[in-house]
Amino acid sequence: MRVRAPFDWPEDKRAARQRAKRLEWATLFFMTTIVVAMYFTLGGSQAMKTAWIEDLLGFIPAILFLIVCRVEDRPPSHNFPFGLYKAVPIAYLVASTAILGMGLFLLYDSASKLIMREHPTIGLVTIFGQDVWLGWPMIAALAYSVVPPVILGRMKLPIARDIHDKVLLADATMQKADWLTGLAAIVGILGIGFGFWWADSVAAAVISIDVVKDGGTHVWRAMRDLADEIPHDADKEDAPMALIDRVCDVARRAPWVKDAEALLRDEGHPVTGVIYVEAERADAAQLAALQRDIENVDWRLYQPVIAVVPPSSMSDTDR
Amino acid sequence: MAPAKHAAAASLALTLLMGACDDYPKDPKNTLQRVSGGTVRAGAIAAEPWVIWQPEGPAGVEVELVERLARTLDARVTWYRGTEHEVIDALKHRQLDIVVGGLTKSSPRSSVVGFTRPYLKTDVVIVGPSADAVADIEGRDVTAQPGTVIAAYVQSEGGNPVPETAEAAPALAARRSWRVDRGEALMRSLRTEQHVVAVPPGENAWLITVDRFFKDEADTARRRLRELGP
Repeated sequence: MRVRAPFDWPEDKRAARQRAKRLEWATLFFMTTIVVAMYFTLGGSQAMKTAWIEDLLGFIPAILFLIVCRVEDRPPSHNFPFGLYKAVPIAYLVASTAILGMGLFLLYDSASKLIMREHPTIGLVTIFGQDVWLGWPMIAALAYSVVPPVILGRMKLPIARDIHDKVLLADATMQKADWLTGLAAIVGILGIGFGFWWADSVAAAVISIDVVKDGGTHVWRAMRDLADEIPHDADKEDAPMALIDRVCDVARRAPWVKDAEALLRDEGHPVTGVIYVEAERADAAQLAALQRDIENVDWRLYQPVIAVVPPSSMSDTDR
Repeated sequence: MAPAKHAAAASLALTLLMGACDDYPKDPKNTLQRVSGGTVRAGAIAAEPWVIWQPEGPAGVEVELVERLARTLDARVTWYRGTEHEVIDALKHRQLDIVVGGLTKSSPRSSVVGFTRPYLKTDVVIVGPSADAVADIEGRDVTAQPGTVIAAYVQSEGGNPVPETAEAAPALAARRSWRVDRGEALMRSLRTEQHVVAVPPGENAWLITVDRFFKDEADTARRRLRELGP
């Protein structure tokens, strides 16, 4: 029984991944402060409740990223000879499904409150001995809730693209767009103050539509990933990686190779697959050398298998 | 995207500034404006001493406070009597403007109508000669009118409720906090109740007015409780 050698992270990618881990710990810390601050001001506002739940959802990608980093680092074993790299797309699917499900529930909740014409009651609270309309501390908590996610999201986004991590990418894009959630909820509360009771449910519905859109997009991408779709760039969804062409070019440069075709798939971080080379004959040394050359094409290539096929047996389709 | 964000920020700041004015928040259905100089439709749940229904009209601690509130708004009060369920339902459908009658913060009605913050806290207390006597009443005789809820509280702790009589009164008694002198012997609270008033859901300006008024009049309420309360 053969067990794969562990995937080798290049130094700079490993450092970026470490940085991402630190940023996710920072995310967890700030999200906790946000969730606590908002909890104390949760009153009758549906928009506030929806924004709070969306912020709670933000914990899922962050926690999953940290867990998956641990899992992924375990070397391939007897039980998992391919390694645990698939944990990344699996985590991506789990996280996006949770987000989609929650978004649908929130949409139903806001829509039903709107249809039932529920008027939110927001009264007074006592803060440091003063009577204050609860709407003001709500708005303050929402304003605070926007700042850390947007900053952290912008910091995580380039790293996510660099190390091609879809969980981190989903997390970063959602957080960067968080300002919309905060703004919608604030507008909803201000609307209540002006006597527009419906402003609250409408704002909540807007926020939940955003969550559903995020969840749905990512669920779709995650399912395609797990179905071994042709490897794409992390966020340029309609540009199959030029990787396949580069690999074939390198293969064809070998003097003993007449032609080459690549069948690659995305395993999360690593990309693996089979390179079919057309040759009269090949010996072990040539094959090993070719495998090394192909791995050097991109940091993500991981133990591609070279398959030698007789000349003129390759199809003419799909060049 | 940047100009859109700046526009959003500017309009937000403007709205916040407008919001800080006096006339904010507003009532979606203009309750406060309507009752000022007009009529307050008040629902009363029979609950002594908060609401005492008499042939000529209601009396009671909370009834008096509503009447005083109406006077400050230059308004009259029309009283409607019903069970808690009936008046709360009418309040929810905006057929009434305010409901009183011993409502407390823990009531499940808080999710369908608007509640003020608690304006008053009362307790059912055990009064006795010493801290030990008060702490454990199991098997002891406690003065508490049998057939009342207070007697039930006493029984749930293993005590034995006895009617109040002039001669041979037991050392322990269970009473409402307004019947107890501040300086009297040691006491322990059996139950605490936070009293609130109900308004239609979403009428936030009206809610704030009622809330502030009742909080300001809490001392008056305490005094009237001692005078009226059983």
